[in-house]
Amino acid sequence: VNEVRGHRGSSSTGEHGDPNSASGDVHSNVGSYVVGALDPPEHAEFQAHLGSCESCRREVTEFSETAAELARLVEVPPPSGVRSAALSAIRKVRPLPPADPTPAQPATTPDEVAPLDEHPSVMPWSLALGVPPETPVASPPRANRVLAAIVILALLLCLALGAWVFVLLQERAADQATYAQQTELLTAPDSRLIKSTLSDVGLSYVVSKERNLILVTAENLPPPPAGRSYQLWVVAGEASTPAGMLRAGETVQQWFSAPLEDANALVITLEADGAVRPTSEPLSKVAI
Amino acid sequence: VPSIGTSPPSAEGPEERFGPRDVWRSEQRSREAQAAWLVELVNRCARGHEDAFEVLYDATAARVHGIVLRVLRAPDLAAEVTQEVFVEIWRQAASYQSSKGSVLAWMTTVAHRRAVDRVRSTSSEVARDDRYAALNAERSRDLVWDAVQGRLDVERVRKAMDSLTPIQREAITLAYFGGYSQSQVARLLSIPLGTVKTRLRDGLIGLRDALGVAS
Repeated sequence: VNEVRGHRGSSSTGEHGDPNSASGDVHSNVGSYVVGALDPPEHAEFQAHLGSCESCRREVTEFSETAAELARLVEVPPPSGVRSAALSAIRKVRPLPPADPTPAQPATTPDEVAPLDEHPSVMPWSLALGVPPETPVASPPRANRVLAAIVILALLLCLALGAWVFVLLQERAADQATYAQQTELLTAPDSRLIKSTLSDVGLSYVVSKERNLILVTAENLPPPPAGRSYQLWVVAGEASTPAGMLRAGETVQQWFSAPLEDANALVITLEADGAVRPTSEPLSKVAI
Repeated sequence: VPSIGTSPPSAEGPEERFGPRDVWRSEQRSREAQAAWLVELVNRCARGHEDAFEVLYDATAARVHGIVLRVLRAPDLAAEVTQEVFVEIWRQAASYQSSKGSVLAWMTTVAHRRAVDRVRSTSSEVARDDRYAALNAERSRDLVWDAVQGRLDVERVRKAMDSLTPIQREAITLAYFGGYSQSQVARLLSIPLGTVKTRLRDGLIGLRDALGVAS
């Protein structure tokens, strides 16, 4: 499978490892690009560079897979309210049609900043965050006919999807998810209200083990001593898992989502930010 | 409108590639089968199948939310951004091309980018103290480590991370998990910008090789 590439003859396209190459400086941003460490101008510059640099494109692909593996280390399920809110939101959003289905260039997408006479491929991920690309400027007549057919198909698809979305909108206009999370917790069959105290003020937990949700409420919770924070822990037997930091304030109403299946207690301690295990005596402890 | 089937995605033909949500966690299923299953789900999202979106959400929500939460460090804001990411995935499903990488890489990229954009925007509610981050770079790494346990894949990634030099690891942790720009990372670690660039790239090469990521 031979990919159509435009920069074969261009001497400005240096390879990695050649510090004297004119574009060597742009190349060196490839790692920073993938981990999101470029500022907007650098980011735009590198994206433009990607359109013409095969080796950077390949590294971006590989590094993006690598970064996705890194993200495994920090997996956390979202609060369950997010699910219903997202489902409700997509019912009002039509998926965009495919950007560039031209069969002559199966693996490439035009890049608006690429040289005019070429359509080098670009990472589709940039497109996911920006404007859908335009169709190629110039295509052979045969491709034009194919393109025309595709455009007509796309239009028909748009009409069909439009009608479909319209029906859905009417059906589900009332389906709002504003208080989905609250409703979910409060209507959970095993939802419990547990009262406690923290720093001499009343503090309540609403807990659903089934939904893995905890709501902590308090009024006039005094701020913790400088450099320390209130931290919530889920205790299961000998193990304590951090569930998050509790912010002090006049009206505290904070959600936590944590695996509660095996939990038997909730504890709040005072910790320097982001402790891994509790290092001080519990200020509040309730059995769940 | 065809509906999602209920049989496990590994052995069956293309018509029956959707499984119940819990099957996702089954360790028996090969990575390839999982990846192909996700591609099929995204393709169906592009055609407007909400049931496919629901399954996709359940299969990927922890990965997406985890990285968003890690970068933003604010649970309420992270929940909001996670929702935005999934709506964006739904909207852009047709732009996903399996020839350019896995679904998880695509989704993680979108999620990370959104979170970083939020952090960098002036309206961000997240107050961040650079000096604090520098002091705690090593500790936040431990937090990352300790928050996860047991699963083989996580163990593999953890080992890969351990194979890096401390400065590579710190640079990647600050940039990827901390959401800091490369010039901020340079200031935090008191090393030249050019060094940050090479450490980030070398670190990713090291991880890529340790994890056996193929293009």
